Amino acid sequence: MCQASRDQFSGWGRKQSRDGVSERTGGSIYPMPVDIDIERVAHLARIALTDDELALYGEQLAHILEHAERVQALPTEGVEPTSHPLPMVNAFRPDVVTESLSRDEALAGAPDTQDGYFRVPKILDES
Amino acid sequence: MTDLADLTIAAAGRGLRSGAFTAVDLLDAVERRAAVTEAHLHAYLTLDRAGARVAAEAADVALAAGDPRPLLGIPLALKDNMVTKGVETTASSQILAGWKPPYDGTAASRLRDAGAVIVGKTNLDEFAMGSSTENSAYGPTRNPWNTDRVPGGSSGGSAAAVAVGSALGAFGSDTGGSIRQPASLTGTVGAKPTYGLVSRYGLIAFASSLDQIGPIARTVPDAAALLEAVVGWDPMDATSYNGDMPSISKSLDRGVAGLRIGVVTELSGEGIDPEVLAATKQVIDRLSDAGADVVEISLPAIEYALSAYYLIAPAECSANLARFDGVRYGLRIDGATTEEMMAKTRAEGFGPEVTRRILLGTYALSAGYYDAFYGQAQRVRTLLRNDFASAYGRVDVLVSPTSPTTAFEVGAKTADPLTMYFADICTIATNLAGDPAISVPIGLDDAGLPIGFQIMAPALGEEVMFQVAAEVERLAAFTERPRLATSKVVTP
Repeated sequence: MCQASRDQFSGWGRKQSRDGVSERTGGSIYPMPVDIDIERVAHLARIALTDDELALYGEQLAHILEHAERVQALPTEGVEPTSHPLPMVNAFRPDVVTESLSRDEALAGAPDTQDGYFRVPKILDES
Repeated sequence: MTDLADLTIAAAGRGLRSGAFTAVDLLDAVERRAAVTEAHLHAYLTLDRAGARVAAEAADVALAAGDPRPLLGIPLALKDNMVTKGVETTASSQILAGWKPPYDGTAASRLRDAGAVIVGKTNLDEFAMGSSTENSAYGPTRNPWNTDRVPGGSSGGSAAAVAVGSALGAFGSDTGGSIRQPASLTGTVGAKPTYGLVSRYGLIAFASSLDQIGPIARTVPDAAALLEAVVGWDPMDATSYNGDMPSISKSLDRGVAGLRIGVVTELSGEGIDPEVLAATKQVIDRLSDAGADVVEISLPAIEYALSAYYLIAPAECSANLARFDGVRYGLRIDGATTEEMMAKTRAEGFGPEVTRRILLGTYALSAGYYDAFYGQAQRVRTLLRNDFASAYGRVDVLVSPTSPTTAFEVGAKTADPLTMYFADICTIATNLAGDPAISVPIGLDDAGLPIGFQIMAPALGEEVMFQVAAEVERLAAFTERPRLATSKVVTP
């Protein structure tokens, strides 16, 4: 009776899910990722990972993404995406000056500051 | 004699107003309870003793002057992803270790304005990503009913504190079940309001289109009172709801006669623990005896909710957590260039689950995949909303178990990230729909662990949701307390 949990379990844990989603995905218009270029992803995310970590996360991501085929297999032609559940379009507030953080308060939590600015290492590597 | 730490918020309010005890007495009782239980639970990351004392003393002055605010002098805990001015806020991450925010989030400032006493900041899964509070950089929280078990998550610290009496009420955040599931696992009441009802300003963002702040309390009326204190439009959150706020506590005493209650087919069978199912069924039968019209309702798209969630939530988290880059706050690991500094800082500062979700989200949003993953998941979200809309054309509320199981053992689901994700199968759909839902404790399983019952309502349907929740609370008559809360309290 509990379709959701059974299919979710099977769809997540196996390459071939019991309900035949994999079969349906064959007709999907979307490219299924075969190999994830995990090094590129880690670079885009600006997270310096070791080779071992890259290998582990790469494997885990591929595993987790198997469930994406369930979502991709659903016919959604003409369905509008939902990004906000309430029918609100524009959110206006009065355009008036209000109190904000002082510069000192804004800088107080920073790891490094100089002359009232956030201080960072050199931006361009010119070596 | 009742220890003051065991009072409900309603009873404490009456006691304060009658002069039976002071806000300082109440704070002392809660802090004494924490002194006993924290060694076993680790519900708190920070206890703000000085700030709480000042607030309690101010509350006593106001009480003496007849100030009627309902939360005046009530000791509450806040999840540590809710920023509090001058009080360390880490979201349980190394990357924010030591950060003292220069401002209060809207929920925190509304609670202060209501005269509440903020006892401290509670533990969570790092950046609210998890279902057990084991993903905290500062160590896990334990379940007060059995300290070998998890309290659920990610608001596990808030739930454990309320269950054991080291706070009379608390707030958490719920992105996929992070208030309701820990409430279920700790025998407390936890509510996720309609998306937009509570401002997210000052809530450290995880998945912005799903995150909502909500209350955890020991009773349904207490949870309603907590929620009422924080709802409302906020110019600082463009997604906060700018229409009329729904009534929350107006119908608590009305019962369920004549209400139509839908039992969600897909959450009523396989995959749910038999003891949980049996307890749920018993409550549903009692609701029917109490005059509700109970029908079975199928939500076919719910089958895809978990999969859609694990595309949407990581995608939004990868964007939100880009702000932690070692420049403006928190941790910095030095590097030769700014980019190297950022990459090293983020590698050192984020734990494994957060790293995994950032990578997953970064991948899902990267060129060529955006529409296939995020776009498609947002369309599935529409299908799910359509299912809910059609259900709410036939019934007033939907019900199900809150969690497929009672509290699981510490370490049981940490090895494989996927197994942990299933803990949220009953709760995730309402986040995707943006609807409100609440968990109410209904009994204990054979191992003595609490079982939670979930009531879902259409957007802005808080009034009927709390109405049914209050009746479930009366029918279940769940009065058990965790052993830790009833053990002899040592006076320091």
